[in-house]
Amino acid sequence: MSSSLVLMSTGVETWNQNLLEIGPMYPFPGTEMLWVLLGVAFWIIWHICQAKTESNEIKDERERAKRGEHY
Amino acid sequence: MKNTMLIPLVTITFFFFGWWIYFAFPNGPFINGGLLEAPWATPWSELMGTHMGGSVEGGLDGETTMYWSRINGVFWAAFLLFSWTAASIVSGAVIERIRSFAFWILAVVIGSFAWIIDAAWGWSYNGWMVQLLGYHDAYASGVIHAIAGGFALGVLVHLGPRLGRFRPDGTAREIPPHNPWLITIGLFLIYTGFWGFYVACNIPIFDIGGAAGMDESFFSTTNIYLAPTTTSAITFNFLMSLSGGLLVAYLVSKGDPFWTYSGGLAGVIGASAGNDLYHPIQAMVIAGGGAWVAYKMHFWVERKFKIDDAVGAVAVHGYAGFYGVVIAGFFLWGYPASMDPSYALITPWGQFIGAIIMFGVLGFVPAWIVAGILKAMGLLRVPAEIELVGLDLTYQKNVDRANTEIAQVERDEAAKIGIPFNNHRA
Repeated sequence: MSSSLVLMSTGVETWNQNLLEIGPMYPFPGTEMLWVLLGVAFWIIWHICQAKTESNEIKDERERAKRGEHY
Repeated sequence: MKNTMLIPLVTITFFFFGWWIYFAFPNGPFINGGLLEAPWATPWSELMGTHMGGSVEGGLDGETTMYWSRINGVFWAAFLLFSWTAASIVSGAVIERIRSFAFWILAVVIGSFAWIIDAAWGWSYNGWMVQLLGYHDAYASGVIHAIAGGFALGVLVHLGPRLGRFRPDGTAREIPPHNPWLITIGLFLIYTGFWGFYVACNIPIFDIGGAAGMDESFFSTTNIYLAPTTTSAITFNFLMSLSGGLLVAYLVSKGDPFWTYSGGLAGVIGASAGNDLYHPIQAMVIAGGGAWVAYKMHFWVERKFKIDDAVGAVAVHGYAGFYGVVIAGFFLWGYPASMDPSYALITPWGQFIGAIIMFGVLGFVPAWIVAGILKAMGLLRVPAEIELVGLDLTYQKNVDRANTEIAQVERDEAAKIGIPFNNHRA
């Protein structure tokens, strides 16, 4: 702990060390798989949300077209 | 919006699995061996994040770990650029009637799956096509353009033509572009980007002395197969093939601007497979053939099969790319495909099989299957009412409604303070 103000460490605690020994420098090393699962879930959910939005939009615009609002 | 959003979608999926496929699939797998280990390219690898190289990963040695810790993202982005391109090529063929959802699913299929498999097979120093077929495709006539063209064709078979594209007698009606000047600017931007793409296909300087059996270092620019070429040669050949394509396309299209500019592109694509080795005048002549093939094939397929390839993407990328791979087999017949003398030599039949794999097996077939599934689910094409009023209708209508409302408010405010006001929005 390099400072009394730091209550926890998410990764690197000091640069004053042998830099050749440093591996991963991002926060929370060891949780990579969790981030992958989160990312893949976000990707799939994005497609689902987009598909629903597009379907609703198409439905609304078809009704408007049938009412002649676009012509 | 379709082209914009393919960028993040292909980017994240290329991170999740595309990059690993490139290193794991050079053997097929199971064509020339099994899956290869690629511990630096799995999405959960420490080497996919900020890393100083100080702790080894997945059985790698220290030097390899140090190498990938520094260069991984740079190579990933270079390949990702091609992933975006492959998906974007498809977008032009399917405009004005495909659903965004369907396009983005298809973009991921080609951008993060199909194209990177072909890169592992035929655009890698150890791909099975290079080893067994002597496949040579230095600037991606097949691995980007033929696959993207074949993929677009596979989608178009299910998608069908735009409303009104064909007369009752089966002849095609012209659907003029909204803005020919933007087409011109766009195609010139593609030329410029293509030049950069050529350079990105090379390793700028690499010691190939050992691989050549020399006792000393020999630094050279190499192609993707780590075989020698020069930046001088590719600069000559890029511009000479662009010129050959433009000149022939102008003649064959009788000066039609769209086809002349597209023919420049088809020319470069037609010569790209061998532009690391051709003489510049050979590049010019071969490129002229590419432009001719693209133009003639486009209208033949349109007449014969009623395929509405809206911007000629199948023609310019698919047919010219196929031609480019095959013609390289004749001009480079007997050349080594690799620095490894145990690999097959370049041949016309190796290149022809390669072109079929690129255009058909990895391009047309996956697109035909996925687009067929989307069509069966009713998710491939927008309804006719939406196609007639235009896919950008919602955005345009929202702009119109907002302008109408704010214009009324401004007129009311002007009346309150008693000034004449000619509102520019209304």
